[in-house]
Amino acid sequence: MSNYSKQWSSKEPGYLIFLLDVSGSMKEDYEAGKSRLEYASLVINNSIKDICLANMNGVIPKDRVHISIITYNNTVEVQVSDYLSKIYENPKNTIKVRKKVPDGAGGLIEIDTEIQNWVDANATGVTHMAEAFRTAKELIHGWIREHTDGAAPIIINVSDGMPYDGISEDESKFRCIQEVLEIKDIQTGDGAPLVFNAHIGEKGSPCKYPTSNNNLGEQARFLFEISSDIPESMMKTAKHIELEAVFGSKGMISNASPVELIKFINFGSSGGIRDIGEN
Amino acid sequence: MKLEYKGFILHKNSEYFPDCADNIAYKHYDSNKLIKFAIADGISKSFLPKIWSRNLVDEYVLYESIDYDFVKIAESAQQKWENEFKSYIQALRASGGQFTDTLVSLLRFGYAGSTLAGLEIYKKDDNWYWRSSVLGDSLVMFFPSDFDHTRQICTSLKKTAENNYIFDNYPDYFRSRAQILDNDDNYQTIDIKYGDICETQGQSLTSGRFVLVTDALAEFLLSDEEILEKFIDIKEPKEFEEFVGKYRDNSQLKDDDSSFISITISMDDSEDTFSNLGWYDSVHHHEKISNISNCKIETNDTLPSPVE
Repeated sequence: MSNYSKQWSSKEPGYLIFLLDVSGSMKEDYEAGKSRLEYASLVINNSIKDICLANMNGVIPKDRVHISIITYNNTVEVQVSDYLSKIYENPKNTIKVRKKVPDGAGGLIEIDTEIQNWVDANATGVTHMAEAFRTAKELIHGWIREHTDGAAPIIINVSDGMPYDGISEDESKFRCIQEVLEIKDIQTGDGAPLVFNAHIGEKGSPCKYPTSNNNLGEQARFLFEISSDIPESMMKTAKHIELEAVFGSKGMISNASPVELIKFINFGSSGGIRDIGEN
Repeated sequence: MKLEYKGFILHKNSEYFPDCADNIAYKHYDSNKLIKFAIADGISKSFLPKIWSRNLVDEYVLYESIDYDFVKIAESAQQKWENEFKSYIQALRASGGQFTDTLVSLLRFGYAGSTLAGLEIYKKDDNWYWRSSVLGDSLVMFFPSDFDHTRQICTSLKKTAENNYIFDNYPDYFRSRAQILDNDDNYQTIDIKYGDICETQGQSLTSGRFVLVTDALAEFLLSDEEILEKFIDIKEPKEFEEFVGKYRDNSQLKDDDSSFISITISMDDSEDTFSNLGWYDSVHHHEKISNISNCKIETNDTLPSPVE
């Protein structure tokens, strides 16, 4: 069976990997006074929070998914890699704010709240994307050795540029494509791991969920090559959240706007999770 | 009138029973003029859905009058859920623990969702009738035992142009909260129901079989009525488990929580008799539950302690 039909569950948790480009160019302004890195981190944080919310059982989320966050620039760092409940309990840092909540008697009470952050990185250096995919590949191999019956792992890569190791752009691209092809060759009972790519920035024409690489610019063509097709089983969700994807679309966006980035990451990270309104 | 009933719950294979958000309930009233059945499917990724679906089935069967307002029953269940939720908040505050932003979001906006399907069989002026009410993709089906009557299905599922029911991940449901906070810290009222209720009222009871099922089984059984006959013949929970397991294994049946209530009616008997052939769930593994008081299945599904 290879139809991406398995749901993330307590017995058979899913595996979600975020790859985040933290190279120097991610310092550039993007939206709402935030740099590309700050904004992408915020979106990934919110996405993890949404997954926690959808799986909350009292005060701790159920372990229906294992999440890894890998950052890459000159080096590759696995920032976080654990089951949801542990991720929830161990943020990289927290920000304290005051918020109002129901007091249990019809009124409101102000309390101290901790906003959890799971991404903590500075933008600097070059873009060792191939190494990041290689690390993801190794993590996936380790995962499926232990979890043979689970849902296919999902990788969401967020970057503002092409892979570049500081020596040759062509060589970097080639190595990156090779790593992704090896990931796509990994077999699970649910299908090969899914690789979704979000390129943020505004250096070219926007391109969303293409079905062919005709008339695509260089950046989009590269992403087309390393992105998986959106499986049919995810198309209902795509339609429901009004994603402009059709049957045969690649899971990729290029020169994405902030709104599109949020939508894309929410979609990609909901592969095996259904929120309220879905059962 | 002779009435025989049985009920089963089986959690999805890929999760554990505590994750199961389906609930079933019945109540046979002492007057022998009313018996009620309910089935509910909590939306698993919502906030404490199992408690919500349990409250809904309990409230439905515990409402004694034959004339009921389905939404008012849900409102009563909602009040119960809210009371438990309030205790939960108060315990959280008393524990002095740190509130994460995620938890705060749940307290501000979180609610549970659940379908509800109810059936009541009642006697009025020496005649037997039935009434069903459904919100969501759970079904109440009636299969008459003769050809003078037609099959009836009560559900709020939508249909395709070809008249087939649409089973998807977006069913109608009842919400467990009446009010949530908006971004400006004001309470906003939300509708208790999402979608449209199906009601079938005042139907004369004839010989046949009622089946109440949650979505995965409903979709499967509607696709093959021969299978339905086999399901109705199931007597033991082990049989139910094996049957469901077999069709899950060959992918004919989705791996979802599966609940099933079957009620067989014979109008040939002049005396009114009611028989419980077995009421089972996965907690009472392979063990018949006897002496069911107040229709409840004991599932230990109370709100988790915030200080755990």
